[in-house]
Amino acid sequence: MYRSQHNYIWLAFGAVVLMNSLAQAAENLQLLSGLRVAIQDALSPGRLVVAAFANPETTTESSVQAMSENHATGSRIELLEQQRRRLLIENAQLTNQLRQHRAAQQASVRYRPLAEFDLVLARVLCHSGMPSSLTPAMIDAGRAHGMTRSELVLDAKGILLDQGGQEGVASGRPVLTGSAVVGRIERTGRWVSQLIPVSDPSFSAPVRLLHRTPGGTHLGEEGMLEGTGTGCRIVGLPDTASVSKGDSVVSESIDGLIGPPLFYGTVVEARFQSAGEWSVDVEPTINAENLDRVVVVVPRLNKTRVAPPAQQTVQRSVR
Amino acid sequence: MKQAIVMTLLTWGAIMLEQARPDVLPADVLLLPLVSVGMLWHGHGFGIMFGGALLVMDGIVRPHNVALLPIAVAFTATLILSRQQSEDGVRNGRSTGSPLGRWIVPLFPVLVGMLALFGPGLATSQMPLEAALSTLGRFLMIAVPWALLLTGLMLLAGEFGLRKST
Repeated sequence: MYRSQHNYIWLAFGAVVLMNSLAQAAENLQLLSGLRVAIQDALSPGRLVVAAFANPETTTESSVQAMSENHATGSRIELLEQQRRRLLIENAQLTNQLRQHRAAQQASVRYRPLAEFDLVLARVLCHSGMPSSLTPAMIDAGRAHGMTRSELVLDAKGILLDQGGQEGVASGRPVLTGSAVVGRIERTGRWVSQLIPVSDPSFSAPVRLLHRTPGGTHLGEEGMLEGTGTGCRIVGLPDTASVSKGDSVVSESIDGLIGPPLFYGTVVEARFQSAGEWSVDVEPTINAENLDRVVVVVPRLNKTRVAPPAQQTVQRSVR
Repeated sequence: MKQAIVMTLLTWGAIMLEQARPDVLPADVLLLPLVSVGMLWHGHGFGIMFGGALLVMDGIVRPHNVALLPIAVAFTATLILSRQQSEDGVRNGRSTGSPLGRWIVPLFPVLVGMLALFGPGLATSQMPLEAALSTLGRFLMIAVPWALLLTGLMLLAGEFGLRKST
């Protein structure tokens, strides 16, 4: 009897060791999280009751705080609801105004500009001329179309775009990204064109300074922007011009036509030299080396204005 | 079976209290004496196994507990019971040892459990000595009177024949 009791006690201890080992193994395998949550849930009600009884002041304070938070949230919801209604009314008024404005615009005399600007999206093929991998294919394709070698721009150096004369791209056209000027088309082939950036020494364009003051933005004097190889400079500014560091440089015209100002860069250095001339250094806004897509500006005549009279009549009747 | 249910409920209450007031009651300060006395209360293998299972369960609920704790406490309780069995010190629920011994012996699993709880942290210097001493002092202040109270209840139950050994 004693012996069996003794064995039974040690057997129970062995069972505890086994249970503990199994629990540790299960814990290592992360199998016990569900059981842990279940037991914690079973403990929660009593724990909350004890905590509430143990610290009633804190509970009361937290209840008061919760009530005040609820009140604040309610006030905020009410405020937001009023704001929503006000915005709805404002939105309806604005929609009505917009409808009236459109109706008035349609009733007024139509203005159709003669010249417009087409934007031709182009992808930069290569930053260093025609890639050798593309040259044979271009020659074969050109031969098939009966084109001369000069139409293919195979020997171009510099940045090569994948749009050419076929899409209306011609030499001298400004090339943009956003409203900033990247450069100008130098040569054009049937399918590709060569771009020279604004910092290229052969680049030049008429520009105008734009002063930004606390009182507003003012147009400054005209000059000629030239590339220097690493940046740009403005020449031809009269000695009476007002130039300061940080002034913007915008286009005077787009391919000779008056249009929206395009951004070239910012004045980084402006010195009035002893010879009575300005030395103005400009940092270009865009570094063409980092671009992969650009837009070529192509001016064209408005087709509705220049269409033959018969066609115009048809267009009017259709409208 | 009734004893197992009572012990489970008491364990649930102890863990609940410890979790509700961790600022006052360090982890295992109520549970360890309860389980230790519970293991000795039964006076046979079932108490050891059931108490060990409760400690393992506590280790699952609160993973901060060291893995050694159930084994250390169960081993101490097993040694005590085994010795009592060999000396035939327990007869029909009445302990016949010396009066002081009867009060002191149930404290052994508690002290061993404390060693298992705090020893590894102190040995590996994971717990700063000042913090360990402070926690240990708080632990002793609560655990020892609580263990003595439970021991008194156990002895009283033995005297009144409410504690039966099988």
